Amino acid sequence: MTINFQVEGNPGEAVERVRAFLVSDSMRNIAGYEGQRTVREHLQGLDQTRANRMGGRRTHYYGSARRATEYVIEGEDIIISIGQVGMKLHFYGGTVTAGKNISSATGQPTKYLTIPASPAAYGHSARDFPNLIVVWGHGGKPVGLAVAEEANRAGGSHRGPKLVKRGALVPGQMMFWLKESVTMQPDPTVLPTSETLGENIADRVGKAVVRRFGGTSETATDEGGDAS
Amino acid sequence: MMFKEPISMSRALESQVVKVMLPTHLRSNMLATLPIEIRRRSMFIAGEQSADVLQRVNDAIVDVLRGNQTEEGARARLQALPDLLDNPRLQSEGRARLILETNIDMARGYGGYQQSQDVDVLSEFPAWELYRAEERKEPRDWPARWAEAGGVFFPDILANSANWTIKRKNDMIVFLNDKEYGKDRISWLLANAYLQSLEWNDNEMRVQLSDQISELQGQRHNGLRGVEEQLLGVLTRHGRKALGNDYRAARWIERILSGKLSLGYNQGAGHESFHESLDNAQRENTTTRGMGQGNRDKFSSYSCASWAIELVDKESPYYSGGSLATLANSDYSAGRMIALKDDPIWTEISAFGLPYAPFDYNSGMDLRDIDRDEAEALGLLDSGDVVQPERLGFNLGVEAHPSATGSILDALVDYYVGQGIGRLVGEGAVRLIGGGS
Repeated sequence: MTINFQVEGNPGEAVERVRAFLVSDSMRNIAGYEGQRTVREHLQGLDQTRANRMGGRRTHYYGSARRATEYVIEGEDIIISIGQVGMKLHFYGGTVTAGKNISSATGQPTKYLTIPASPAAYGHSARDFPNLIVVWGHGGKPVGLAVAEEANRAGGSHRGPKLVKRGALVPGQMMFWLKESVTMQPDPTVLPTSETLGENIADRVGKAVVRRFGGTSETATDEGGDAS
Repeated sequence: MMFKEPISMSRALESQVVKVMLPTHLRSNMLATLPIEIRRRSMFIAGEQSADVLQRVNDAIVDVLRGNQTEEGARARLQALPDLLDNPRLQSEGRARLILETNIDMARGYGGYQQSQDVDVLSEFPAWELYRAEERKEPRDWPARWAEAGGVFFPDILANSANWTIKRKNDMIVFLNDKEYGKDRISWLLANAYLQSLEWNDNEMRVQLSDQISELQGQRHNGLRGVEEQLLGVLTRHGRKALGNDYRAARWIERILSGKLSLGYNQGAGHESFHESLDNAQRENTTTRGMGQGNRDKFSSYSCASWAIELVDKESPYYSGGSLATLANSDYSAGRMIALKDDPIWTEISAFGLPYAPFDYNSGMDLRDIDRDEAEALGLLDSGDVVQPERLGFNLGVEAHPSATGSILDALVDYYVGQGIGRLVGEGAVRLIGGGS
């Protein structure tokens, strides 16, 4: 980033004023807010373009992550955080293993992860569906949860709320796969690139400097253009 | 860098942890008449008379805000509470989801609002735009609410321009199907594609890629990222050749490669077999926005073999995080809803009487910052104007900090008792007089 400004009076004092601004809390707040804004816009884009692949009810995971994005100033550091479970896993990849949570059915640590196998399962836990039965595979290992007969409940009752429209679920339909662990590949695109963040923040700080001290600012990308 | 432990949403979190449990038999409409400071500092659920249940709900919300629990996990936790079994309304999935989402979003909204009121931030971002962040099946009429509150609409140049109509060029059709936008699965490789038509202006570029159909079949790919890389490769290899020495177009390519542009897609073919996708595409195209009947057949036949790609300038004031498509929905038919941050309209449009999102239950609407350059260009303020920060203080004289919980409770008790409407019923809980046990 290049900032050009004309100085009246002592150039050294003017430069010192700009320098003082660039290390001030004011600048950090502006930079942090721009960083937060950049991340939020990126997540908004993901929310619009990455609906779950099977269709079904949208959970707006990335939209929620956008709202969970915040910046904090800690000393000289600006920290942009996304207070949403799973973002780190999406970014770095990794393996999720069952057993972290407590099963609402048994009160014991969970043995399996439930992976949606049907669009109707998205945004739900297995306990949302009455009468799911375990589907067993070779060797007696459970492979999934499928809809049993008489599974559709059209009205609420003392045993539970209305869940699905009558006839919405087909007996035998697989709703969840059961996995002991799931491995996700790293996906750095869930965050804007550091270059994008840096450019946007530099551009914003440049504008703030110009607004306070006059002159003009240019980012590196603004200088390009003749690329053919 | 990434941190091993979640970084708490400090401001959102602190607004939630200091809440006082307010068991009450009052319904929503009566609770809405309480002073805003009370509602903002209290944890209540209409008709819920158990302070213990409220505390557990609040704990679940705090865990989500801390980044320790998913919203789905918190909901399952709520629905599994034995106390709630006696209250089917609370136990229902929809009700639990609404309670959680509303409270979580309000805490996050409060955190964002406090940050937005910093004087330096206000100087750079003096205004907000109300926009639709998430689609809803039956959206409320926000332009009507905006107009009723005296809001001003600003022209939405792109949404009203010819860019949003269906275009035909040498049997290639550049289209925007906003209703289907975001629902497509990017799971097929676009191989050996080449540019077949290209249109651009200063704000937007439309590319039509096409290829032999056989090459599009049966080639799986690993999702959006791979397709992005493919597209960049296509544009790099073929774009420069096709664009020649046109300065503006070459500049677009540079922006794509430098990551300053967002790629959006609209895909005729799904991830099913080609013939299935052909049928699907024909069905879907009947809903294509702005599509005249006479164009449909031609449109359908090409949509399966091609992708329409939007390249949207992130630097455009009309960029909305990945796509311009959201601007084309009905919420914007009257124009863009923009106002300065200190405008009372933000409180007036809120069902909760608060100047930040969410403005209503499950609305899908949110706020986008408008920077000073655009705000000045829109005539919202002059270069020397200052937008006044407004801190949502607690009028009863305490600050929002966990250590102040006791003071807040005392102040609340004083208020309720002083008003003759409440009494202290236990640590951290005030009951409105008339509530049950």
